[in-house]
Amino acid sequence: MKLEDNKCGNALVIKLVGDRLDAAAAPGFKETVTRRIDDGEDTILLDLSLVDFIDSSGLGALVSVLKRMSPAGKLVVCGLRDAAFNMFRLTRMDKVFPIFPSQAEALTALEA
Amino acid sequence: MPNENYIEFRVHAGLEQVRLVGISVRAIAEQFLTVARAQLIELCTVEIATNCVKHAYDGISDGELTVRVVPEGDFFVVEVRDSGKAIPTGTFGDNRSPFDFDPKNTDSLPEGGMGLALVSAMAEQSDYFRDDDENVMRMQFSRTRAVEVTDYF
Repeated sequence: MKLEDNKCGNALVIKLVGDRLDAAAAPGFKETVTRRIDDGEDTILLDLSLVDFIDSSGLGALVSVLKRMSPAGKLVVCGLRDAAFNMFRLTRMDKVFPIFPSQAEALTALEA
Repeated sequence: MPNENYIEFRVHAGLEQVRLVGISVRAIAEQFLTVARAQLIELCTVEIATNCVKHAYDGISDGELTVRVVPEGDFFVVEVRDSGKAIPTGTFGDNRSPFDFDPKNTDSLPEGGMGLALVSAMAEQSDYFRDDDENVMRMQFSRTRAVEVTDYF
């Protein structure tokens, strides 16, 4: 899976360019995002608008990068499609990750 | 079961092929069930197929996965078969839910061990057995069960 990132103010926006965050894609995703966190990024927006399938490996990778954040850091997600959103609800992760409909709404909330 | 229609296919046991397994089973399920139900069946199938690749074959085998879908009986049935090593006893007996966490406590969040819990919760019946030196995981899904995704955990 390819990841595109760009800086918007203080936030690093990382867009997953691929339709599945599964066991095949999760290790690369985790490694790349962890590297950004270790480089000092502490406000990260994950844009999942192209992802229509997340399995437990993908979810585990998301939890792993969340745990990597500093206590004062912020990690939010946006653009969840139906199946991906259902995975968050199914596993109660919708209570863990702040979720926004779009990048614009997420960035507004992060700047507030 | 006589005169039972089924669809069976085989793929190389690699993580890249699990995608094909999931998409194929969902496509069949969508012909018989709602889209939402078909998505959950895809998820369960992917979890089991991933388990086969990672654990039964240790991710390094030239083995195959055989997937059989029985769409028309009392239940929508998905069976995933591999010829890797046997799954250790007790793997399927752990009833602790990895999703019983405190959302405010990051340390309590699960990073793994979620796949089989998802299958146990979403399939009406899930059985593992050995058959002629093969692992078989059979999942049965109700055709009529109407549940919200938030009902499972």
